[in-house]
Amino acid sequence: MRIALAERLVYRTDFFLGTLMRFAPMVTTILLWRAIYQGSTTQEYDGLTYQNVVAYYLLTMVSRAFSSMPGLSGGIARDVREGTIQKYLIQPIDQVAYLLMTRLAHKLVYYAVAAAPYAIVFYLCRGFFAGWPGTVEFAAGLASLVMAFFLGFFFEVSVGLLAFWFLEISSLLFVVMSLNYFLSGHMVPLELMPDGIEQVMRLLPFQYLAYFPAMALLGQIERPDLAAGLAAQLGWTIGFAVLCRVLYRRGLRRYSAFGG
Amino acid sequence: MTRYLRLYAAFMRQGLMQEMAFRGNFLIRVGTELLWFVVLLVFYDVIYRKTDTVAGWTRWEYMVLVGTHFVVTGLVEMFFMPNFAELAEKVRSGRLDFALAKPVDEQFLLTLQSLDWATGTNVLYGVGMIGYSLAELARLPSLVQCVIFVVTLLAGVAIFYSLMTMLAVTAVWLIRNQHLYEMWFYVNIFARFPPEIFQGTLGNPLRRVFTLVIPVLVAVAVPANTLGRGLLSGWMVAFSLAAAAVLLVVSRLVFRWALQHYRSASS
Repeated sequence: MRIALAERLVYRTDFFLGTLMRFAPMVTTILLWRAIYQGSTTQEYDGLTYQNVVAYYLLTMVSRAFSSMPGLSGGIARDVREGTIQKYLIQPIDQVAYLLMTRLAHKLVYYAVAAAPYAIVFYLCRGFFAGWPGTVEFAAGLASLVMAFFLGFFFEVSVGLLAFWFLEISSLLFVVMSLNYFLSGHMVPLELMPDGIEQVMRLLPFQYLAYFPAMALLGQIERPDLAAGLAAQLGWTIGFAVLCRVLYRRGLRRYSAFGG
Repeated sequence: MTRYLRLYAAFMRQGLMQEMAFRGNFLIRVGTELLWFVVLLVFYDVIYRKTDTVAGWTRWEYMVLVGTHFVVTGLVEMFFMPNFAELAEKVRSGRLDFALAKPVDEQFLLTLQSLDWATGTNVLYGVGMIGYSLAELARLPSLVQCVIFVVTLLAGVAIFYSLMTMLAVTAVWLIRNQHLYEMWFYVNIFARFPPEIFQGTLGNPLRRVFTLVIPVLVAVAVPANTLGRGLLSGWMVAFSLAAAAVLLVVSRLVFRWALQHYRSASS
């Protein structure tokens, strides 16, 4: 934790500017959606107004800040391929738990430092929000964000552990990343998708990485659906946590079968 | 001149040979580029299910723009980007000395030596997209429009080349330049959209900056307008050609000036 904090603070100007830069695509997104809404006669698409869509995109940036784990799968895959995974095996610690704790520390520090740029951007964009969400929605959104972190973590670890079976997975990672961008609702909110695709996307776990927390915070989800969604998210999170254990066990057995 | 052409043919052959040495990897990279192309198509399909025009662009006119963007960025990524990425590493390791000692123009060697054939497939996707969209529009552009399209498109490539050369050569001072691909993404992102969407208190200043100061907005929009909509603003064509010419000269000056500040790391 202290190490991560120190690391971040060394490059604080760089970091501050970097975080602000990350909002540059937001500018074009806002302008594009304004043009899209101006080009049509209706004020709403599938129940979403222009303000809703922009607010949605801003909030997906928050959910991505929780759920995205840059370099996690790739790092695990590299450890497996190059054999550096042994440094975890000879230590009396659990590798997944260790990785989880480092990520958690990194993320917590990130939120502490990134809060300022995020606050600035959200303040500038306050016009797109109808107001603060209700207490229930806010609490549900927060819970969903926290789960999004764990779901994102266990999902990425599971993908990375596939390296036990296929040594070179960098292109697989790229495919997963692109699909994730699309399926999580980071690209377009699920409502706007054609019905068939929307149904499929609602059955998959990816929506809980971006779409669901954002919509919950936006107050766009009815309370019964909110509860059901949170339950499903919890289910997926536990599911991937278990999967990750199983893959790790099996993978290690396979790995030592090669003689390390 | 012929010497440079022969040299360039050798660069191209070498690049292709390198790619073919790892054929599987090459195919996978082509596949992933295609995946992004498809994701983008889905995005625009979703949008045009909801509305008929975006900032005055109908669906297939917009797809001409998307195709043109793929061609321009595909060309830049194929011919120039690997060189820009390598430049910083050459400065750091001192390998730049070898390039400087060779009896050819430094900028020619350092910005054109490596090619990335896999991203070049984006050019094909883009051309396909343009062709399909023109068929949907039932538009047959005139010869003059085609010529202007090609010329302004090359001007667009030259604009990106010059901007990225100037960014890449800062490596002489910064030594490390890990954000180069990120910078490319940010330079590029504004060129992807029709200039008409940049409106309002936020959009107007942005449009002016990205037209007059960093002219990326003309790089794609001018050729796309000519081919997809038959809109021919002589002033914009002249402006994009002038911008390309000025930037090429400026980037050359900046490049030379930067190299004079290079202090070798090898000795």
